[in-house]
Order: sequence, then structure tokens, then C-alpha cells
Amino acid sequence: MQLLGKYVVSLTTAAILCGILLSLLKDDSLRKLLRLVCGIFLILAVLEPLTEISSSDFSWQYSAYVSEGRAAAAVGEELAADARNRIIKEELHSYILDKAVSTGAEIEAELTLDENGVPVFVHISGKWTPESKSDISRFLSEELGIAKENQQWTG
Amino acid sequence: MRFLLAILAAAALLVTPAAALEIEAPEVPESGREWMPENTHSIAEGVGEIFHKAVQALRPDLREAAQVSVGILASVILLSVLRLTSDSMKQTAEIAGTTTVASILFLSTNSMLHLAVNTITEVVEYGKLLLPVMTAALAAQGGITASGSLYAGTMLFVAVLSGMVSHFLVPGIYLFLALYTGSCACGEEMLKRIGDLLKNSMSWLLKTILMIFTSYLGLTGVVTGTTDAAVLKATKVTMASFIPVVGGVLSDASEAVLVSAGVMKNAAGVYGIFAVLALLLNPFLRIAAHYLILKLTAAFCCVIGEGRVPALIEAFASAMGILLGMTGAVCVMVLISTVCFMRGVA
Repeated sequence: MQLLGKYVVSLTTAAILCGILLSLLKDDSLRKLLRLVCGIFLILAVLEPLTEISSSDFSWQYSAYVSEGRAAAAVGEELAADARNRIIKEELHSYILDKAVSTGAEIEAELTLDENGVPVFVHISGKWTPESKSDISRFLSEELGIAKENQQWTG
Repeated sequence: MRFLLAILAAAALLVTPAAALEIEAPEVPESGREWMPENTHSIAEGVGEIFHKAVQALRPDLREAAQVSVGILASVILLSVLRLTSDSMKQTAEIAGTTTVASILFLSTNSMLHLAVNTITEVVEYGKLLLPVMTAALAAQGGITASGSLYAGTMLFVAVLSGMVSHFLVPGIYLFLALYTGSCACGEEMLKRIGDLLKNSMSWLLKTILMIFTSYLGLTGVVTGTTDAAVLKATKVTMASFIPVVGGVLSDASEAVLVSAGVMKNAAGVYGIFAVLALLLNPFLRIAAHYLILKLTAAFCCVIGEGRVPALIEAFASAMGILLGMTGAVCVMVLISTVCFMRGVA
């Protein structure tokens, strides 16, 4: 702001000086010459600050904004995936418990999902009979696609 | 650092119960709080309320602008009388009159310039908090490519424009006024020409940046929107190929997240629009009131006075016009990009 004030004051002073000088001269030929000199002087005075502008004054880094945008989008994507996985886990959990109740077992299921939200592992705990375990295990592999080796049973 | 904080704030806002995502726009800054509407659910009613409040608060500014106008008219009348009484005093009267009118006008123009710069700073700072939230929300809704491009483009153009405001437009306005004051005081046509060139470059710059920005948004919207829509469609097809039960659950869960992300994103966008308008509208109307009154004063001065003073008043009115343009341009950029984020994936 100080620099700007100095610039405005110096430019206005230059302009007023030129104006006074021109108004003092009555001789037409001299006046034309002075007018030319004053014109060049004023143009130089106007353009002078442009020489002081450095590239750091305009440091607009597009790549930085792209990275920031990607980071923000990744946050949104991750949070959406978390919310989706929570819903899937809740749905499948109640689905498995319904099946367990129908076979007479009392179990608790803990699911692990892959990055697409597909169940890949299940940990079952609680009480069950060999028949009900077999039914639930078949249900898990056929309906939910969880292979038998990825079903962990803790009685 | 500020960006990281904004991301963390957005992340904190997004940690939610399983049924839905909760996305909220950052709270409006202190200066805009009093202008925020009670009803933030309807765009039309909300904007109407902000406008109504802003217009009601204009009275002191109108009075101040009218006082300035009366002062200028009195100076012009005095100047005309001086000119009539003595021919030898003509040049002195012209310089004295110009200096008096310029100093009266400079005070109000200076305060309006500070008001405009403060408004721009506040809107830009708020935009830096709002845009990451909108980006995360759009990405959650499936617009991963579109959100990143929109964010990067908007931030770049806002940075370019605010850089231009501080490095070129604000000094340019002072310079333009100095040149016109010098020209009117000395009757130097060359200074007036340089001033006109400066004014035209400033308005050309504003128009060009806005034009490039809207073109960028248009192109980005078409290209990235299509890409994101194709990715979403491909994901749906992949889900359908899963085992029936898992596929159905996966599809329902994804749909629920997409819908809730869309609803939350729109609510955050509407709040963001209100917040930007709350920050903008009152200062914008105040500058507009000064601009109109200056234009009116210039017209009156042309009728009652002669010489170079009316041209000087017209120049100050033009400076106010550039102020209006630059304030409006920054806010329009943030508003347009918010609307683009709200539009989402086609």
C-alpha cells in the first residue's frame, strides 16, 4: 500500500508538473516539443511499476489445485465407501442372523468386506448344532459367496 | 494448511451413522451472519430475505452518498459562479475545483474500495472452505473426475482473479483516478487517454476471465460428467454380475449412499449460496448506491456546470463501476461453481 501511495503521488506530481510547464509556454513550436517530451516522460512513469512485477507475485499453481481437488475427492470417495460398507454389513448381518434363527442356532457374525463391498470373510461365534452349522455354512457359501475356508467358527 | 484444515473439517462432518452421509457447508463468517435468512430450505425465499435485509440496511449509505453529492453540487455551483465573475481566474478555478471535488470523492471511493476488497477476501476465504466440502460431496455421489476438475478450475480462476484484484485492479483504480484528476486539473488530454486505456483494460480483463471461467466449467462439465456417468453405469453392471443376494444388497447400499450424498450435497450447496450472498449482497448494494448517486450527480453537474469537473465525477463513477464488476465477478465465480457442484453427475 505504501508503494502504491508513492506511485500515485509521483505520477500525479509528474502529471501536474507537465501540465504547469505546458501551460507556461506560449510559443507553439516549443510547446509541441515539450508536449512530446512530457508524453514520453509520463508513459515511462506509468509503465515503471510493471518492471518490478516478479513471477512470484502471480504464483498460481494449477498442479497444486489439482492435487488438492483429488485429495478432497478421495476423502468423499472414502467416506461414501465407508457408509456403503456399514450398510452392507448391517444388511448381511441381519440376513445371516435370520437364517441362523430359522435353523435353531444362536450366533453372532462379524463380516469382512473387500474394497468393492463384497463379503470375503466371516467370523461366527455362539451356539449351534452340527446340522445348523452345515446349513448356515452352505448358505454363506452359496448365497453370500463366502468360501468355506473363509468361514471361521468359534463355539 | 488451510486446505488441510478444511479437509479435516469436511471429514469430521462426514463421519456419520450408517444410513446416510451427513455433509454440511462451513458456517458463514461473523460478518455475514446477520444477513443469513431464517428459511434456508427455499432458494427463492432465502434470497428474497437476504435482499430485503440488505436493502433495509442501505439507508445510512444512501444518506452518506447524498451528502457527498450535495457537497459536489455546491462546489460545482461555486466554480461556475467564479468562472462567471472573472475570466482571469478560469485556470486557477479549474484546478482548485477539480482538487476539491477529487478530495471529496476520493474519501467515499476509498472507503468503497476497502469494502470491496474486504468482501472479496471474505468470499474467497469462505469459498476455500466451501469448495472442498462440495468436492467431497460430489465425489461421494460418484462424480470423482468432475469434482476434482471443478475444484481445481474454480480455485485457479479465483486465485487468478484475486491476484489480479490485489496486483492490478486496485492499484489500477487508484491510478485511473489519479490520471483523471491530473487530466481534469491541467486539461491534459493525454492523461485522460491513458486513464481510458487503463479503465478499458480493467473491464476487458474482468470480462475475459469470467468468459474463460464459464467456458472451462461448461467444457469440464460435459467431459467429466460423461466419464463419471459411464463409470457409475459400469459399476452398476458389475454389481449385477455378483451373486444375487450380495449384488442386491450392494446395489441397494450404493443407491442409498448416492441418494443421501446428493441430498446432503444440495443442502450444503444451498447453504453455501446463501452464505456467499449474505457476505456479498449488502456491500454490493452499498457500492451500487454510491455508483448510481455519482452517475446522477455527474448528470446534474453537466446541466448546472461546465468545464472538466463533470468528466471527473464521471470517472469516479466509472471507478465505482469497476469495483462493482470485480466484487461481483469473484462472487459469481464461487456461486457458479457451487451450482455446478450441485448439478452433479448427469
